[in-house]
Amino acid sequence: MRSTLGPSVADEPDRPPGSGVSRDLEFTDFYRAEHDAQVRRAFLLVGSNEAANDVVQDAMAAVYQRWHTIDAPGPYLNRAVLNGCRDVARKRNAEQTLVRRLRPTSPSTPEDTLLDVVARLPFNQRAAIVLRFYAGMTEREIAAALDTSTGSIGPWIKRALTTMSREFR
Amino acid sequence: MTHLEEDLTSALQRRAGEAVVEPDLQAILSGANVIGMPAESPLSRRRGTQLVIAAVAAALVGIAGLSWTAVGRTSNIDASSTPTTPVGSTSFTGSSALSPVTPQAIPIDFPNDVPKPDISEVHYMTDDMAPVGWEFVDQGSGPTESVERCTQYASSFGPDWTRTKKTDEAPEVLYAQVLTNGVWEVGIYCVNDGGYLVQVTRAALNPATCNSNGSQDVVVPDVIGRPLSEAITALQQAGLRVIETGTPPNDPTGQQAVVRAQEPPAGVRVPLGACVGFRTEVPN
Repeated sequence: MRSTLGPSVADEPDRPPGSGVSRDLEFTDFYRAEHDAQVRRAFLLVGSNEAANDVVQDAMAAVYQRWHTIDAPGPYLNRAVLNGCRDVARKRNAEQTLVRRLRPTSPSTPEDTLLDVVARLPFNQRAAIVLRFYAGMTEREIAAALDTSTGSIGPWIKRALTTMSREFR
Repeated sequence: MTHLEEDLTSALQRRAGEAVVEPDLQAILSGANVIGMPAESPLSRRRGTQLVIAAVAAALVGIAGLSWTAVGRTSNIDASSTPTTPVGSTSFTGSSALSPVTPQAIPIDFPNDVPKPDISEVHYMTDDMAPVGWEFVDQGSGPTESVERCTQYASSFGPDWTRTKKTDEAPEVLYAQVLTNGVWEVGIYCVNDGGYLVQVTRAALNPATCNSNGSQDVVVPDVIGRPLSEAITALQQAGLRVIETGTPPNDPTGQQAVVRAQEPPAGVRVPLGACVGFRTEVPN
């Protein structure tokens, strides 16, 4: 089953080695089906439009380069985007911590508070939360996307929810 | 789902809708976006099920006995607009049930300027035109086998799956067509005890073909947490098409299924006729 969410409409097929035209047509379909959803997901993880678009564009380029050698481009793209987001988040964490210290702001709505807490979660917890509650992925799918064991996902989500509950008290 | 989880889902949906999406497909196709590759492919290469479009289309057309015509119709596979005899095709004669079809060797006159991509997958759709499953067509399989698979699929989804369409409303139709943008679409409608299946290439489901009525924008409604059937109705009423994943709409378990996630998120403006994907879960 496919969709533009999570492991989706372009995940599972065998990729026949075709002509360049064929490859471009197939990839174009894939790109159109996946791109926007991936950018939104990346935006939730890195908090920046520019970075999200860059990460997804780079990941898409990686998929295109390997179009006929990867078996399931959907999961491959998921992982490439998450790895890209992780790199961006690592760099941004230090900056954001500094900014928060220098210019503390108070979120205006409870929703903003929630998103602020999500933004401060460790990357794996944040990714698990976004993939579960935004993309609707199962723990197994999240584990595959984050290249970890399924057993890790539940505790990450639980820990993240506990943190959020605590902040809301 | 707890209140916190509901609030979280809603907040993430809203925030995701604020993302500014800037696609740049051409940069990739032209090689301008060459970057370092991930160290290792997470997935091994699998070979096997491959099907060349020309072979399929030739066989399909041969069976249908249709004379090939290039048509300007974009993919428009929905229950209300799918013609019982699609443009550029001819319906089967004889029994409208899944009776054996006698192939007719009619050569296809493919337009020279249209590339012929491979078909490596098919989507099976319900009479509501939401995909309910899919599988690959093995290399060398022909339309007869596809019809058999339709039968199997129809059987596997049970009576609910096939209850709404009468045989005389959906005669067996085999068709293939060229879309104006050079994308091929090949389909089979199979009647099985009052229902039918549609087999299409992935190209028919991509956003470009979904946006066939893109002159007017509509706002994507929020369907998170709503029952599957209600969500489909809401999206259709908004003028959107549904790409549902998870539970087939007419599957008995689908009656309890609720939407867990949607894409694009609620509040985003999309062209009329655009596709909205969502995932469903049956609550414990």
